Amino acid sequence: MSNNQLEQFRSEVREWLDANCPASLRTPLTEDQIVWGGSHVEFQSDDQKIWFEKMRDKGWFAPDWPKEFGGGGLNPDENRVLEQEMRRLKCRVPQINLGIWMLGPVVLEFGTEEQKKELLIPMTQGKIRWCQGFSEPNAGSDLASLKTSAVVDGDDFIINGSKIWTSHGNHSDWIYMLVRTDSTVPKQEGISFIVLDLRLPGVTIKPIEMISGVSHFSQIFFDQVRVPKKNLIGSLNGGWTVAKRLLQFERKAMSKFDDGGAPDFNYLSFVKKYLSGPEGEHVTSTIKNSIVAGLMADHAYKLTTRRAFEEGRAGMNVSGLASSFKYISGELEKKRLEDVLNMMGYRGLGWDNSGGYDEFSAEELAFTHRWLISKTIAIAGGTSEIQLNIIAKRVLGLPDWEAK
Amino acid sequence: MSLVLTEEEVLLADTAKDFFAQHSPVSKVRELRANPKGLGYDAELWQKMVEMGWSAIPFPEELGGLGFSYQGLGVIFEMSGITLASSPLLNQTVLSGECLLNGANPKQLELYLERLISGEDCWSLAIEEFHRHAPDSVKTLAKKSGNGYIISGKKVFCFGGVGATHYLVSAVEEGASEVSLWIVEAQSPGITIHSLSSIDHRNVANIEFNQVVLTNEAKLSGIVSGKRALELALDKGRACLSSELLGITQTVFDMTIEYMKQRVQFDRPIASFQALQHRAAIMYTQIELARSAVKAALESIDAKDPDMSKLVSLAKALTSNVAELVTNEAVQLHGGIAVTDEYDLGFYLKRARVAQAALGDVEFHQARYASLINI
Repeated sequence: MSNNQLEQFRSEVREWLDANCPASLRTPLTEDQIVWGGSHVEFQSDDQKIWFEKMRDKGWFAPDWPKEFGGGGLNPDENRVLEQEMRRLKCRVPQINLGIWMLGPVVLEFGTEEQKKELLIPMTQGKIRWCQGFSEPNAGSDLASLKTSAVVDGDDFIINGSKIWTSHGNHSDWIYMLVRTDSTVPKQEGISFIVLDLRLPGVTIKPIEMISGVSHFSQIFFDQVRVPKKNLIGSLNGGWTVAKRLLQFERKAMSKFDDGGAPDFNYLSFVKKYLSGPEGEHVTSTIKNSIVAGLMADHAYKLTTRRAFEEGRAGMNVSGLASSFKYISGELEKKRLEDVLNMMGYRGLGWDNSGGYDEFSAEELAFTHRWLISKTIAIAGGTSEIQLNIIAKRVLGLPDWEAK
Repeated sequence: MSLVLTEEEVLLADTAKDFFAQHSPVSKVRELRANPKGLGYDAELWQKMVEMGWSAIPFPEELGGLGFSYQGLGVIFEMSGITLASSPLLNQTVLSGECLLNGANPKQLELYLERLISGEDCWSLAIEEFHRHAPDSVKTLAKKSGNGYIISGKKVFCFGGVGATHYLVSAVEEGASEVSLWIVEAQSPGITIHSLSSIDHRNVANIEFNQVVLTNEAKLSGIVSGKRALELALDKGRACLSSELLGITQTVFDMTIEYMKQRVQFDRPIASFQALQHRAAIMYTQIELARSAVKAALESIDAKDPDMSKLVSLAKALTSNVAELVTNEAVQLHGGIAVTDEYDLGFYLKRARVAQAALGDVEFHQARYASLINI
């Protein structure tokens, strides 16, 4: 695509976004303002509904998917332009849905034509909310040791077992999950990838209370749940390959999440305001230096995601960089929140203002809350240690440890 | 603009890599060390670099330069870090050349630039007066006297100061509030040069200017003030030095990974120990962050980006920081052999330490970055 065509596209996108994105949705997205696409989609304002529908009808819930499945049909350059322009105009994402970010790309790659039609179109319409069932109580970092079983029974699978750390499980419509379909072979070779409707009989969902006081996560129990065989994605016992691919999309999506795509706490403006105001009076240069170092690392991280995109587009191998993003951004976020708590001192210790006296500002409470949430970042979706293993083995080519 | 090199820049990178491998292998550092009264670089190597056109890269064609990119010049510095090649490319071409390019009037440019590019003259900045990089902290005084100036002051840690034919000296004119730059010929009466011996065996000197008499024409007086010209030149030099640090760091890292795969203890290559694998993986992530910052800094120079200073400080801070991390980890992961003179790693550790401190260390650039974002 020529630069001229791309710039033409950019000006069209800019004009369209400017004309269609309501002004109230051009402010940083806070967690409670997220619109979750699904059968129970809830809007907190007419503007949210308008923006949701405009973007849906444009095919821009999934801008780079084929139009026949409800996508926008954009090529990678155009998609990048759209992301850039949305960021520039500060347009919020119209909805957040794991289906589009993670399951969709693997269905496009591994699914049958029938699965693509049945699964992708409701996603691009924002009708089904998806969650992920990978981890189990005894299968965390060693995910391949999972035991939830799917046994063939006629045209169906019968599923038994339990999945844990499922984000928003109690608000979701469907789940994509890994199940054990053969326990007689090496553990990675007996796993399959299936999708199912959470309203099926035998499914029980239990939210997990977290240290931050909220419960994003659930444990889901499966007791003799009957699922049709056509819900298998990829081949029988080929689920590990599908899951590895999906996790690549997850890392990509998470880096997009960090890159201004969604919840941005506006760390910099808060820190500046705090340090320059009376609250900053007894903050030492040690804390300030640590904050600046964190901001610099974040700047370099954003430049690195940009570099990965540009190098990838130029046909260079960026798998090494891609493997680094989750580790870098996760550790960075933890450090930044520790810094901000150090900066706030006693004012960072508030749980809420229910004591009846409004000591803590909403912003201070939000940062303290975010600090607690940040503890999950380097655990969920592959711990930092697993990420380092991946870099060591796949990027640096370091050998496995062998028992002697 | 893009962080990806153009075909021409990639070609230049390949050429530079081969060039340094052939003409300036690491063993050259031992030769420089054996000759402490020398220039701290190989004059023949420098002449070859001039013939390759590298000393002409940053200057526009109408002034006898090539008008090529800083992204291109940056990769030459990166490649020079692989074998620790020493040359006046930073002190003369980038730092002195950019001061002239931006701060000199047309007559001064005509008089000096061609011979700076050709290597017939040797240029060095004389701007530091303290043992940390502090270009704004200047006590050297330029007194107006008849048709010229009399300059007095002591400059320290002038990189490239030994054997220079011309110095660009920062001084404050009597009654002025900011520094300006003066061109001072090395053989002018009143100049004393104290050559220093540094851990990287390169070229560095303290220089005393005692009542040095200069004409009016010696003061840089182009469109841009001397102070501004110096700031611009320093930022470009810092970006190039960051690029060299990146090359050094990557090389040390590669040596270490190679060694870890070969070194067998407890009947296994030590590279198979997870505790060591994680240290290697962390280094990899930090090098890649620094690499992005270097590329963005060089890009911002070519793009005349208003954020250039911020990106340059980011690059210099991150490369200095990661160089310290990786050289130290390299020594530890190698074990005893790393601290022997026979093994080359020590030369990388020592050159990296000089490059970390030069033109502003982590502390300097972190503070500068903070002030640029108003923290």
